[in-house]
Amino acid sequence: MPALAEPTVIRTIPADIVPLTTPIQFYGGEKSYYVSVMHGLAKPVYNSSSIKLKSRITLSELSPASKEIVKKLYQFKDLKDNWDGAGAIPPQTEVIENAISFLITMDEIELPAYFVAPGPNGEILLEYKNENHSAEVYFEENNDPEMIIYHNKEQVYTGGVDKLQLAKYFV
Amino acid sequence: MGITEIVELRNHHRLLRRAFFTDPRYVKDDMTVSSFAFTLRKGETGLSVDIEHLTSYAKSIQDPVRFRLFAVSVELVRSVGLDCAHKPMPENAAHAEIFGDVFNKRKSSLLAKNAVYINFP
Repeated sequence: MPALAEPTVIRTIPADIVPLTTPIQFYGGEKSYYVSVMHGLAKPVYNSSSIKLKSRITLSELSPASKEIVKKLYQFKDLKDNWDGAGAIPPQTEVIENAISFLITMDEIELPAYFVAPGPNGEILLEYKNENHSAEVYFEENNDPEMIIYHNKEQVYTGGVDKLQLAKYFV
Repeated sequence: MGITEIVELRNHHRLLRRAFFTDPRYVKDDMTVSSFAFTLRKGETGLSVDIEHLTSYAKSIQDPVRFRLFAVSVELVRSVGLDCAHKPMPENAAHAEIFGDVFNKRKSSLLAKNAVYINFP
């Protein structure tokens, strides 16, 4: 495989998405490496050449959509008891931080959230969508995150957060 | 004051639910609604709604600056494994509740996904 003409910085996929048996293949060139990352769906996710591999992006490198969502998440830290006038509980800092961490992970594979909201019982909801699918990811205190995926209005997945499932429908 | 007659809810009846329209909002930019608008709070046994034909949008929305209305059919409520009943209150003869033994995120989400936006005000 020929190396690309110009080196390009690529993003890595977080290790918990790529199965351990997935090979990462390097083809050496004079000034760049061609990297092909395969995962369980048996199709290349990224094909590019790069001199430098980045293992994690910073908040300043998030997509504009994700930056807006993070801004809102941090605003939720200011919510007080009874924030809705009907007894709603504010989300705990740990719940918000878990949501932010997940959002950053998804942004790394170019899947920004498009909606975020605090729930009446201290939950946080992140939503994703494309033309035919939508996904809801719920974070709450003392419970593992849950996920619901829709194909149009039909639920096609309910259960724990499964990033491979999310990638299957959205990446 | 007369006693309000209890209405037996039929599948074609619609129930109105308010959703936050000001931040933090439950109404999305495309005017669909978050599942949190149909989520039971801890300690609640039923989700408060208004029976559409017993009220007006103006009365049901209460505050048109802070809220928007969404409608779900009784048929939808029953199709997701919940039920509903007319429970009039002194200040609201149209009050009803959606309830069920298992009222979880999956069901709240289905109600929201299939709720219809009421274009009011």
